[in-house]
Amino acid sequence: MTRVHWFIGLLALLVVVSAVTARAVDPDKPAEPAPARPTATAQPADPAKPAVAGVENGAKAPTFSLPDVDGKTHSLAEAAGKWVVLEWTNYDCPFVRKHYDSGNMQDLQRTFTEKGVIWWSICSSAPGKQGHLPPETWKERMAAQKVAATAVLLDPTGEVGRLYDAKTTPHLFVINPEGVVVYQGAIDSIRSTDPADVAKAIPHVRQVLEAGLAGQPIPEPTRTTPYGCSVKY
Amino acid sequence: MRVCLSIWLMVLGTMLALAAGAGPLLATGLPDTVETEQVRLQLISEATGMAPGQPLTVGIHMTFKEGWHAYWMNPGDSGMPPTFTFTLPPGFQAGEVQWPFPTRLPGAGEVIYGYEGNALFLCTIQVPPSVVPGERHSIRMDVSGLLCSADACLPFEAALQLTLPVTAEPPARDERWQKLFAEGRHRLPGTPAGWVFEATATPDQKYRIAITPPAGQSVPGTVHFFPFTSDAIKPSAPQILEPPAEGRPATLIVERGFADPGPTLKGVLTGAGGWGPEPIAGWGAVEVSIPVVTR
Repeated sequence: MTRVHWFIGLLALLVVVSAVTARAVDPDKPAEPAPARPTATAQPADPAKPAVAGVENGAKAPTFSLPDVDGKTHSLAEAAGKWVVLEWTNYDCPFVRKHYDSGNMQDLQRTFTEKGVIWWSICSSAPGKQGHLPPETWKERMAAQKVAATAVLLDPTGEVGRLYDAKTTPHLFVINPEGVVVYQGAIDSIRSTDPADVAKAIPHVRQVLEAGLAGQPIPEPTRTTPYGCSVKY
Repeated sequence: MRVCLSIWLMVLGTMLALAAGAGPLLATGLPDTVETEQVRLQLISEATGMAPGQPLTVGIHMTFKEGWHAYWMNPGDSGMPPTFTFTLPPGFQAGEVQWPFPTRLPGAGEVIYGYEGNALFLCTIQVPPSVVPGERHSIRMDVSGLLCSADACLPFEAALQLTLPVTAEPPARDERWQKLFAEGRHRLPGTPAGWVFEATATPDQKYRIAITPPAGQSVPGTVHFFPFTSDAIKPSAPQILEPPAEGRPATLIVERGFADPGPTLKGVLTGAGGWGPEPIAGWGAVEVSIPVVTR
């Protein structure tokens, strides 16, 4: 090996070492706080593998509490008397991108939170899997795409996701002020990742919320097949 | 430094995007194969050329990298099927894309219908009589869709092209792909001659699919039903095959989805050992349209 080779090798080593050290002490990326244990009404028998429960329309939505990206805990019990939307999310899933890049999701969030609806985006991606982000990254990405949800709730154990049997991102549940599930399924009627389809689709969740807030009967369909990426439990 | 790099990447990206956008105009220079970290996509032809007025069978062969899968036309609990778009010279006509039957891929709390390993989607293209031996014609296929692993989902898209000569005589087979085409045909659902299928939608939210084989044949040991529409059945529920008993044929019990039962249940029935005898011996699946009685 020539002297030049040695020099390049040393330089490369230096770069790697400095990158690793920088990562370890990066002040912009604080160590991820241990996620608060979610509490759910249905306790799984094996905590390592939470039970898949699922919810029925017309039945009481199972209560839960989860921390948001700031560590503040939100509980379904505290939302009693209000309309609630649960939106399972994974910001890197192409189907979720469709609805955020087109602005459709933020528009729904803004429209209905302004009318008093509690809108929670829930991420059940396990650590190391797509969609699981450190809290700081969550905040950056929420700000960058002007998220208008009430809060983004973190469910890295997947316990609440399995409680509702959330299958896809997005997968939406609408709960009325009495705490009863009135809609579950897809955000709209066109299963695709193409933002151009948003305007052509039947906006199921929008229709359910508009009718519900106006005191009208919830329009059919009240249950649709959700479409999206699998939830990365 | 980082900003500089970003700008360069943007410039490079724009140039690449422009080049890709110019593809359909130039109609040349498209590859027959595109490979990413998740999948290898290749457009192949069964023959080395095309003859005037004759059909030409082509296939899009997908080879998935370890851990990745793509989806059937009904993707099951999540995901999205691929889409195929042909761009053909004037007078050429593409038939329907023939989908291999899927396998059931269980994930975390869900089941999807799709493909692991590899899959060949076949399509017959009718070549017009007006083509002249000595000419060369290009077949372009744009394919897009979704690939997922247990950890992530990523979109994919590729523009593939094959250029073949027109030959006066029937063209020779392309020996490189004979095995693939043979295997690909083996994975297409067959037509169940002589079999009788009847479904009953029962109040306990199940379909009971009675399967009566032709005389001298028996029902495969394991049978699974894949519906063409996504909410006909519950993909994650197990399906149980009850063996035939006195006065009752073999019955596959399937948990219904939340869609109301219609007059027919359409889809694919897979079965180890096939739905013999000749000419469909060895076929692992049959396409069925099953009359439904609601009870």
